Amino acid sequence: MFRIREITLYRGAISKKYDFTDNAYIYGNNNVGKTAFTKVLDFILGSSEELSHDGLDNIDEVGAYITNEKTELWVKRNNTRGEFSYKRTENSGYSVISYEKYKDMICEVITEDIDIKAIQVYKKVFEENPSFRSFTFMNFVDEIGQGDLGSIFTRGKEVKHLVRIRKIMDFFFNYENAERIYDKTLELDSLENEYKKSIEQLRSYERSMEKIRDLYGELGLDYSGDMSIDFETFQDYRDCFDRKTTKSNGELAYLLRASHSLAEEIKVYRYLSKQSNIAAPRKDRTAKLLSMLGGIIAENPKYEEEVNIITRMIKEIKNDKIILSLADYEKSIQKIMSEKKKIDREIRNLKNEASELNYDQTLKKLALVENCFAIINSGGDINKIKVLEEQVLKAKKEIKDLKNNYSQKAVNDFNKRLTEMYLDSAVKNVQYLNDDRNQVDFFLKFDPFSQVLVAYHKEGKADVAFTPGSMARHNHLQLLVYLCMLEYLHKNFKNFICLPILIMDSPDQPMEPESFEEIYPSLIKVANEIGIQTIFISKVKPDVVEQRDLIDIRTGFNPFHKNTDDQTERE
Amino acid sequence: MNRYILESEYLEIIMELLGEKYKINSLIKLVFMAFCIRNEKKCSYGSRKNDVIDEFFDNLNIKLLSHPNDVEAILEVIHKMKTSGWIRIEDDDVAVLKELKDFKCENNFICGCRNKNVNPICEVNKLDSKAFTEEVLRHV
Repeated sequence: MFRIREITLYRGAISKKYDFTDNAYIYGNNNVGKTAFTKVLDFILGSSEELSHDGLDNIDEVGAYITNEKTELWVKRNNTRGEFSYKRTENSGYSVISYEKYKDMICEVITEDIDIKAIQVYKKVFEENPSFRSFTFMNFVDEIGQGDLGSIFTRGKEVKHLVRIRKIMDFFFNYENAERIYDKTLELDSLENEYKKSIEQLRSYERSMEKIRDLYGELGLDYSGDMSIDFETFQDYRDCFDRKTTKSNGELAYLLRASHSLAEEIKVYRYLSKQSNIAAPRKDRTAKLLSMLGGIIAENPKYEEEVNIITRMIKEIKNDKIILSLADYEKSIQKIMSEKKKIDREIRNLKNEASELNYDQTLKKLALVENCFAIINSGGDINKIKVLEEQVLKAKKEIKDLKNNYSQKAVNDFNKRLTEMYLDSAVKNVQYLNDDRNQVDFFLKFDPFSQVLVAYHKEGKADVAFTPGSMARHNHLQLLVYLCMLEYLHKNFKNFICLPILIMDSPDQPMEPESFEEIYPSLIKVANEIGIQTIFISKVKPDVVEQRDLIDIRTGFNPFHKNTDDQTERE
Repeated sequence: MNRYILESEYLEIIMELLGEKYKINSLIKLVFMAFCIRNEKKCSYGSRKNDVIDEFFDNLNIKLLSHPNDVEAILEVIHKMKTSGWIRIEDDDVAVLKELKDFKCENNFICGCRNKNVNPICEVNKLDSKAFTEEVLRHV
């Protein structure tokens, strides 16, 4: 398992080393740098923030020695130059690497066999590239935000975590669906690619059809729209420039007038269509007004006579306008346009009859027609496109349904385990815990999506939610949620890129010393069962903590801190 | 109580509209003009951008459909005036039966219109009932 074994602060050639056990316990009075310690831990674990916390001055570099069962890693991060470096063996030299590589190196120690599938699922479903830093809100119990059951993760309120915490919880507690969404998204991608290709083919098919029609006109050939007949016409012309006479026998002047007249008609119909579109919402408003007046009569029949006079008048006006809104102008426009197209084609044919082509131009146009026929022969299967379109829509709908479909099982199991962790612990002499044990059907309900923890108990036959009192209880419950979350990940996401570490900054403050003496070992027991490293920071040193776990910072965490220097000089 | 205040506000507007100055004689005009006048927040149209008629009817926009209780109050006033013999309604025509004298409306808009050369209420009254209804439907 991933363990931080050492943290070293560097100031030029001088250094200060802190050794860590599996359950390190850091203690020191107020203002010695306890919170600063958590900042240094976060810094060396790849935080994007610099070491700007009060009391962390004069530190050039921070180093860490990280291990798991099989490998060792020494990392170093420069505070002034922003450099990241690492080495694999104790006696080798440090190599400077990029920030991304630095995170990757740490990630390799978290787990040797990263669950690539899970990361790919996350990437695909949430369109985000996660690193272990994305999940560090589950590793730090900061002092600020402790005891807030409305926002269990103390870092959950930070903007960088806030935006993605819901996605992350959705991923952890709805993984089965996420996996299915991932598979479906892959299927959708391939369908969409195929659909795009087919559409492109269809477009070039349609373009070729149009182009052939134009080229036929320019060549003075009779275009029927039936490809087999048109192809024969083309072959005849290509072989011996034999051209059948066109069927057009209209008078050019008359056709031009007809085309102009139809264009004007289209203009008028477009105007009417626009007007009828405006009339449609007006129709709705009129209906609403009539309905409101109807409602008034229904409630007060005595106004019937007066209201009827008004409604009669409104209906009269409404009927006058109905013709405008009922007419289907679009259909008329389409009909006129198709007629106009026919006339325009005849005009073009007549004009083309009068023009003379030279040999080179003719050959060029013939080559173009041949190319268009080749495209037309190669494809443009409308039925296939329709099938693909349906499949794409179906896949999209399935993905949408899956995204909206939450399985409550994982959350329920989590809450069951959380309640069990709280009530069935070895803690015997803590008043609030005994009170909760005595409640009828007491259980805890954590909503991972809103990060809210609520307690329930039985009142009569109903389960009633209540927010339990006592800050000590709140902190205790908060720590258990963190542990339960890490246990859940350990069980269900074995090789996922999540740090198996819990760093707690003074959560014992509201607890009575006797209670804490009992609670601390119970927390450590759970952490050891899960296999995570704990780093507990506190003001007090309880007797239950083993000597080897203790890290004494009573004289100050940062030996290079300005005030400490002054003090040393004075001494 | 609010309902009675609302009705009395409409009563003075309707009495002004029926009175010597405006002589409104159409039911549909009476109902919708009373609504527009009470819901008019400007006292005059001195710095208007639109035509007075559009400005006046603009008060129907959204407000009318969301305030059916106002229409009810207007109808209640008209109904009371009819049953107590002050007015007679035949089809859309309204006739005043008793003289409404010694009365001064205190509605801000009506007060603001009193000395105007272009009186919006008079301008709106120039529309016949059908044109008036058309404007109502356009703005409602």
